[in-house]
Amino acid sequence: MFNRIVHLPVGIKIILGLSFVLAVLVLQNFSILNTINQTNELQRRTSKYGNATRVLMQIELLTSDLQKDILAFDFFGKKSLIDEMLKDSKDIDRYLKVISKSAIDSKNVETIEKMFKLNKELKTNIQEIYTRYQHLKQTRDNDLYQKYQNGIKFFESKKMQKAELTWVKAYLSAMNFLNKREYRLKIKTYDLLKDLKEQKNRFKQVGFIADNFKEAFDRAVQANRSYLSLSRVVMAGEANEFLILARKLKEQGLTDLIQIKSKTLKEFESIIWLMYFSIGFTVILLFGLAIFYRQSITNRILEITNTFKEIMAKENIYFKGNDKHSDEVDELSKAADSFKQMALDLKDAKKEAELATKIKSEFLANMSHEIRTPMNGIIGMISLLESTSLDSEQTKMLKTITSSGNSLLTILNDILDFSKLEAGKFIPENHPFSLDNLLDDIKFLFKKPAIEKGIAFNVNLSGDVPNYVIGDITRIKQILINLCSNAIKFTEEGSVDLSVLTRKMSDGHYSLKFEVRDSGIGIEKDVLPFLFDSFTQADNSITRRFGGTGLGLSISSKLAFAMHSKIYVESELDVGSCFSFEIILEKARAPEVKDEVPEVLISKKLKILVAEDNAINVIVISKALSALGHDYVHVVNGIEAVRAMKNESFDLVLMDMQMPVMDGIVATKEIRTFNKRVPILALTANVMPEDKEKCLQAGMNDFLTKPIKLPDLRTFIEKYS
Amino acid sequence: MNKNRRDFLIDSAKTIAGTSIAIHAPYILSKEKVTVRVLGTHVTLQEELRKKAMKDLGINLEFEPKGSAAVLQKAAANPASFDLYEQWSDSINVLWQAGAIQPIDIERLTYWKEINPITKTGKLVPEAKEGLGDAPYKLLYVQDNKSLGAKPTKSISFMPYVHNVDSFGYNTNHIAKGKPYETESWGWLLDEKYKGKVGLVNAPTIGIFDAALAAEAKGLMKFNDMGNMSIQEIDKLFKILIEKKKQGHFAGLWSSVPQSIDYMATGRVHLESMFSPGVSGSRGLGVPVVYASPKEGYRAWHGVMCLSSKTSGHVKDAAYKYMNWWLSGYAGSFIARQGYYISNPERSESLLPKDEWNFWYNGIEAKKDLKGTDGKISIRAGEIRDGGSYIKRFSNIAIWNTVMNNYDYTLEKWYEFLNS
Repeated sequence: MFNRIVHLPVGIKIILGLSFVLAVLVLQNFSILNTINQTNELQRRTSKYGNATRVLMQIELLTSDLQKDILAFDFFGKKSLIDEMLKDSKDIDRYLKVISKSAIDSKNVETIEKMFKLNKELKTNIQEIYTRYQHLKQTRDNDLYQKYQNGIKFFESKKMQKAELTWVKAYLSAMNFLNKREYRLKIKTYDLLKDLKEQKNRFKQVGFIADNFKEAFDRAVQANRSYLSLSRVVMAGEANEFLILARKLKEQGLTDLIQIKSKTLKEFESIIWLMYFSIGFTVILLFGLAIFYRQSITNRILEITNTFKEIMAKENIYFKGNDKHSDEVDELSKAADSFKQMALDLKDAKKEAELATKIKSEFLANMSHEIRTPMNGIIGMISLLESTSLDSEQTKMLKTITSSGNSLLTILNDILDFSKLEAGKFIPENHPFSLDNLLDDIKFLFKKPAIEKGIAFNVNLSGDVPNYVIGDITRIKQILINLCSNAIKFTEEGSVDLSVLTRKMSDGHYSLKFEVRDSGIGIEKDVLPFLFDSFTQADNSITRRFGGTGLGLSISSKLAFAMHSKIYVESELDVGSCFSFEIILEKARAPEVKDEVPEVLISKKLKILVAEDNAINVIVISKALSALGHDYVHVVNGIEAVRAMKNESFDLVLMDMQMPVMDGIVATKEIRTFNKRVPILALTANVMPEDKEKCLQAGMNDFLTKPIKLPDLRTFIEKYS
Repeated sequence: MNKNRRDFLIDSAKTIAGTSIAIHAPYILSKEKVTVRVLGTHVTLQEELRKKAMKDLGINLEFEPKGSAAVLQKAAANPASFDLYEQWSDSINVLWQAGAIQPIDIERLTYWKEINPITKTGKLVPEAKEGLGDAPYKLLYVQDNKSLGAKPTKSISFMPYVHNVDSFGYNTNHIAKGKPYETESWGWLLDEKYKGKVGLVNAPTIGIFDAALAAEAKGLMKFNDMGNMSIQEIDKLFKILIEKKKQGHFAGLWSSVPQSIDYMATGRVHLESMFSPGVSGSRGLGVPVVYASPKEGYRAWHGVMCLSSKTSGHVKDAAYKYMNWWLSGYAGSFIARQGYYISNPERSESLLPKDEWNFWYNGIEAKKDLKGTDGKISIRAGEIRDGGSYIKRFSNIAIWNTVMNNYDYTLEKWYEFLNS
C-alpha cells in the first residue's frame, strides 16, 4: 500500500494528503455541527418542555377550577356554574390542542389522546349533571315538599299536633339527609315515618300520607345518588385521572429532557474527546505528511540540487535513481542525469574546441612569428636600401617592394591580433590619451587616400569634450582605422564622415560615440547578421576586388567587445553604411610634457651588445645601428652575452629571447646578478603579453617587436641610453 | 347504582366482541310490526342480538344503550320512555320502589322452569357459598304486600338471564402465578409488595367490595356484614384506603373496560379490579393476565330484565316474546362466547360446539382455538378458563354487587378517597 502511494505522481500525493487532511477536518466539522444540532435540539426541547409545562399547569389549574365549580354547583345549583365548567372544559381542550402540537413521543401522543377523550366525557357529564340536578331539585324541593305540605295541611286540619310534630321532624330529617348529607338521618326518617304510622290516630289516611312521603323520599334519595354518583364519583374520577395524566405528561417531558440532556452532555463530552483526538490526529497527520513530502519530494529535490552543484566540480557523480519512487522527482532526477551527461559531453566538446582554437591560435602566432622574422630582414633591408642612392627606376621598384612588404605586415598583424583575441589573450591597456590627437592621426592617415579616390573625408568632434581620457588608444585607433579604411575602400563618390559625440555621464565618466558614415555601395540585408564573423565579407568577390584579410570587422568587433562595447551597423544598398560604437571612458589629467624630450635629446655614440642568433636579424640590426652611428658587439647566444658583459662595459643590450644554448631570459637573469644598471631591451617576434611579462620579470627594461624598423629602434635606444 | 356498566363496557363490546352498531344498516320501521323499546347497557344491547331477535320474532326492537346511572335515572323518572329494561340486580329496589316496573308473570315465561337455582335460591349447588349482599333471589319474587322477597310467588320483579363473577386480574410478568382458590387472594390488592402498581374500579358499589374483601383478607379489619356496612365500618375501610392512597399504593382508578386494559397493557398496574372483557382484551394485546380465583370468593353480579310499568297490550306481548327469546338458547350461546353465563345454560349447550361448551361452562382445556363473537380467535388451544367451571365459580361467591343502605355515605367517602 505504502509502496503504491510512494510511486504515485507528486501532484496525486499532495492531493491525496490534502484530501486526507480535508476529510479529517470535514469529519471534525461534521461532528461539531452534529453537537450544535444536538444542543439546539436540547434547547428546542427545553423550551418546548417549558411551554408544555406552562400549558399543563394551566390545564391543571383549569381542572382544579372545574372540580371546585362542581362542588359549588352542589350547593348553589346555578346554571352559570355549568357554563363556567363548560368554559373550563373548552379551555382545557384548547390547551390540549396546543400541547398536542408539540408532542413528539408516541407515549405522549397517546396520553394526550386519553386526555382529549376524558375531557370530552367530562364535557358530556357537565351537561348531564345539570339534568340530574334538575331532577334532584324536582324530587326534593317540589315533590317531597308537596308531600310534606299535604301532610301538614292534613295534620293541621285534623288538629293532630303530635303527629304533626313527628311529621315535621321526619321532613326535616329527610331534608337534612338530602341537603346536609347527614347520612344517619335516612334511617331516622324511615323510623319517624314508621312511628307516625304506628301512632294511635283516628285516620287511616295517615299511613297513606306517610307511604307517599316515603316514596317521594326514596325517589329523592335515588335522584341524590344519581346526581352524586355523577359528580362525586364519575366526574371526580375523570378529573383525577386527568390530573394524573397531566402529571405523567410533565414527568414524561422532564424524563425526556433529562435523558436528552444527559445524552447531549455525553455526546458533548465525547465530541470534546473526539476534537482533542482529531486535533492531535490532524497535527500528527500534517507532521507525517510534512515528513513524507520532505522524504519523497523536498529531500530528493535538494539531493538533485546538491548533485547539480557537485557535478560542476566532479564528473563521476550521478543522481541516484531511486527504486522507491517513480514519480516526477524521479523523472527529474533521470532528466538531470541525462542533462548532466549532455553537459559533460558539451564540456568535453568545448574543451576539444578550445584546444583546437588554441592550437590554431598558437599555430597562427608561430606562423606569423616565423614569417615576421624574415619580413624583419626584408623590411630592414628596404629601409637601408632607401637610404642609398638609387635611380628613379629603382626608387619606383623599391616603393612597390615597400608597399607590398607593408601590406604583408598588415596582414600578419591582423592574423596575430585575431589569434590573440581568439585565444582570449587580449587585455585592453589603459593610459591617458588625447582625443584630439587621436582624431588628428586618423585625419592625417586618411586624408590622402580620400583625396586620391576623389571623395571627402570629414572628421567632426562635438559635445562635452574632455582634454584627456583614460583608455586603450591603440585599440580604439585600430577600430577607427579599420572602419575608415573600409568606408573609403567601398566608397566611390560622396564622402566618408567620422564623427565623435561625447557626453558627460552622471557618474563623471564620459561616453564617446564614434560613428563612421559613408555614401558607399552599402551592404545587403541578409549579409548583415554575419558581417562581424571571421573571414566574412559581404561578398567573397569583394576580397578579390578590394583586398584585405576579411578579418578587419571581426577583429574590430572583438576589440570593441573587449572594451565593453559593441559595433552597430546600419546600411542600405547603394546608399551607404554607418558603423558606430560607444565607449565609456574616464577623464584623465593631462600627462606631463616629457614625451617630447627625446626629440630634443642629442644623440651620442653608444656601445651596444647585440645577442642574436639569426644571421639576417644580425645584419638588419647591425646595419641599423651603424646607420644610427652606434658601435656594437655581436654574440650568438646567452652564455656569450653574459661573458661579454663580464668582460666589457656596454651602454645598452639588445637581447633576442629565443637563442640556442642559453635564451635571452636566462641570460638576462644572469647579467642582473652582477649588473643591475645596464638597460636590456628584448628583441622578439613573440608579442604575446606573457612574453613581455617574462622579459620584465627576468630584469629586462622593455622589448622591441621584430621585424625591427629603423625609427622604432632609434626611439628605443634614445629612450634607454 | 352509580357508575354505569355501560361505561365499563361501552367499548368492550367493540373491542372484545368486535361488534359495532354503527356498521349495521338502520332498521326500517314497519307500521304493522310491534315495536319494543329496550333501555339498557351495552353488555346485552348488542346489534347481533337485536337483528337475530327481530328476525326470529317478527317484531321491531329499538335498543337504547346508556350508562348504568343514566339508564336507572331515566327508567325511574319516566317509565313511559321504555318497554323493557336491562340492567343489574342492584337497581331493582329503586325501580320497584319508584313504580317504574311491573311484576312479570311467571306463567308467561316459557323457560321459567329451566332457570337454575342461582337466582331462585341463591345457590347453584347446595354446598355453594351464598355470598353476601343483595343476592338476586332476595329481590326476585313480588310478595303479597307488594314488596320484593325470596319467598316464591307467581310474579317476579325481573327475568333472570345474564350473570357472571368478577375478581381482579394480575400480570404474570410481574407477579408469580398463584393457585386458584388457594393462594390467589383479594388481599393482594392491598399488599405492600405491589405498592404503586394497583388499580381499582372507580365505582363505589363494586370497588368498595373489592377493597373491603382485600382489607379483610389482609386482616386489616373485619366486617359485621360486608354486604351492608355500617357507617363506622365504612369510615374504617376508607381510612385504610386513603392512607394507602396517600402512600402511593394505587396507580389509578379506572372508569371503563378499555381504560382497565390500558392500565394493564402500559404497565401502569400489575394487578387491578377487572371485568371479564378487560382480561380477554389485555390477553389479546399479549399481556399475560390471569383472572384471579380468590380463595375468599368472587364478587358476583346478575343481570335483570324488567317490564315497564307503563307497557301493556301488544307491546307487552311482544316484550314477553323477547324475554322468552332471550332464554331460548341462541342469546345464551352468543354471550357464552363473551364469557357470560345464562340462567338456563342447557338450552344453549346444544347450540355450542362441545369444545366451546366445555371451555366456557365446564372449565375444560380448549382442544383447539376458539373464536369469539367477532369471528376472531379469543381462546387458544390448551387454555383453561380461570377459576374453572360455571359451578365451581358460582360456588365461590364472596359477595353480590349491592347498593347498601349506607350507599349514600360511601359516595361521600369515595369522593374523599378519590381526592386524597
